[in-house]
Amino acid sequence: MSMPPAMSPIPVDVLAPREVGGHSAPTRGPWALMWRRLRRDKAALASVAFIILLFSFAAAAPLFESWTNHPQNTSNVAGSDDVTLLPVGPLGGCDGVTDVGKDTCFILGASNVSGHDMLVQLSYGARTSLFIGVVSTAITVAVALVMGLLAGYSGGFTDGVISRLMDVVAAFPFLLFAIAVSTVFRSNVWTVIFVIAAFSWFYPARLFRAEVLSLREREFVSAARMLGASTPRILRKHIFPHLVGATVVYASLSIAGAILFEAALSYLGFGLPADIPSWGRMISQAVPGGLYRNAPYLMIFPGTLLVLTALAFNMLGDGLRDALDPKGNVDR
Amino acid sequence: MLRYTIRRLLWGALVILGVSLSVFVLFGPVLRARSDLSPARLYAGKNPSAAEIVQVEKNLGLDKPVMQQYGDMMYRLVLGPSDAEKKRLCPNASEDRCRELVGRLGRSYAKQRSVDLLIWDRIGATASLTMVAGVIWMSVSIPVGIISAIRPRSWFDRTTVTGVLVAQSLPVYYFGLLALYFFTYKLHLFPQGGYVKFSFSNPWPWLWHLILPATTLSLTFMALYVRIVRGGMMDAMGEDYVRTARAKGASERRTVFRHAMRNALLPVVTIFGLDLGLLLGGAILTEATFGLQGLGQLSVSAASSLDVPLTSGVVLFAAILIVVANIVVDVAYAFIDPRIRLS
Repeated sequence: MSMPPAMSPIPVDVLAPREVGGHSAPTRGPWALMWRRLRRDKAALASVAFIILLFSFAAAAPLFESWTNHPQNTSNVAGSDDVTLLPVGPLGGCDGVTDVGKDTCFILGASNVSGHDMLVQLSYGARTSLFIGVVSTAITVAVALVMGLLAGYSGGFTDGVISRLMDVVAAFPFLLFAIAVSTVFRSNVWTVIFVIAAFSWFYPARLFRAEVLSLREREFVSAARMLGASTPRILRKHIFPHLVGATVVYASLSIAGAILFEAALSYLGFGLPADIPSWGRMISQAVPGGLYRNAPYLMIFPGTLLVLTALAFNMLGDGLRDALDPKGNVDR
Repeated sequence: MLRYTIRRLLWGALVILGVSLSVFVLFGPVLRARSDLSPARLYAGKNPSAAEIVQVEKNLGLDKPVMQQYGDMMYRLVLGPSDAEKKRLCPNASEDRCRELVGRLGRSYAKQRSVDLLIWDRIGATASLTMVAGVIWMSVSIPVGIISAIRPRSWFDRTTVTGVLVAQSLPVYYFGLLALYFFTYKLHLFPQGGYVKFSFSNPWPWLWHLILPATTLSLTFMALYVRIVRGGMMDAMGEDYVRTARAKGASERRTVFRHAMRNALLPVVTIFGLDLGLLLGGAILTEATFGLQGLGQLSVSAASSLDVPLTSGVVLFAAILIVVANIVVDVAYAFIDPRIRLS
């Protein structure tokens, strides 16, 4: 009772779109297109490479610790010069003790007068920077999305309240206020993250709001509403996907901003507590008594790493923007 | 126009209300709840007894209900210290002496002086720094932005775009320290830091002390402004009126400067005003790096010694400057741009 295949009912795929003219170009989704463009952007690729290296550097922190035998935040006598009492320079402080498990050299020197190991502090500092950058960006973007969607889609009174709130936050003297907050709350990682998020969300929220305002009037939204889609569903399935590109671009730029913000707070002494390594504090430790004049590497190592990290996230953000919107202005 | 003006004024009042409320809540109830950081305890001397703390609280006016404290603060800001407050803070002093002790922004706990006067003493350094920095960044970023916009993708443009990215990623304090290291320590070209008062007979020492900090401060702004000018000019050069100007036979120079530039620089005027307002409230990082005794340094030392009236005074002062700058910019904009004035 077998039927020859040719006799089967209409093949199902007759309804599927057919390639016209025999040859076909693979259809590419927006992400694939973006990736194609990003691959040609050398600066963005270099940034990605640097960021991967940085994450590995941060992950290797305990390795450096056991390898140099200089745990983080511990003072080492060998870390300061016997005569000048200055921190030892790169490859210094070897001290002639070569027994296994004893002192090894300070490969990048000591990071301050107490003789902390620069390499170990730098790599734990990378952990701090990346953690603060990523977590506060996640919070910033989440708050901005909620606020932007709420204000842009609901309009009216809600929009008015949220927009005024954004105006007020935008006009805040934020660094001053951040200093005040961290004095009152005995700063820790979460205070710093909270402060960064509290003064960063309004900017992306404004962008999202403007975007949602124009999306709301588009036909596909009216169509979805007419089909009976609920507001949460419209926001989730029809509006949010249009904001993903801007979110990704903004997140990358925002990580750079958050890392710089934390470093600035720690440089001023209002950032992280002393037992959490921070590049900003490392730079500030080079200042008292003009230490950096005799030992410029004290500021140059953490400073350069900080600049390169911020630069990498900024360049990646710019590259992503160009890749998502190639027709757009080269700038902005 | 009238409705617009009223809306802007209301906005200003809202910002000041928001900032003053947050500062008040932070330094009032929140700080008080953390008794180890209560200012009364901090300023009551070593190992104070409970009675002493209560007395200090009374002297500082912290014994009153919270809402009344906030009301007093706003009353003082608008109308000056009330008679009751004068009696409490400077009981047996003459009117002039009392003015030195308590101002519209209150009296500093640590320095026992009017916050207004403390701010007034420091504003010179901050204003000078802001002014010189503003001149530097405007005179660099406008020509650079215009040239790279009219020659897009040239080597000059590419260098500019890279430079902008680097400058935006460079923390001011790190750049400041590098500048101090090379230009002061190695080359002995500039002084170590500090501020010299301006004098008309010889303004050179004033400027000489400001060049390095002002350049440092201007760097981030330079990057931002190059971006804005370049973007604005690129948009303007693609507009119909530029094509029309060219079609009429206007020279390229005339097209760029008379037609495109005047439009492209409009947003720059706005942002310049806002940034000046922001910076006049204290350029904290630059001042800290170069040891300039301006408002930024004042606020940092106030916050670290938990000098509540001084910190909140500086924050409020900065917020007022930002609001004033916003409103001035709006008015100026209406004058510069006839489209706004006439609509």
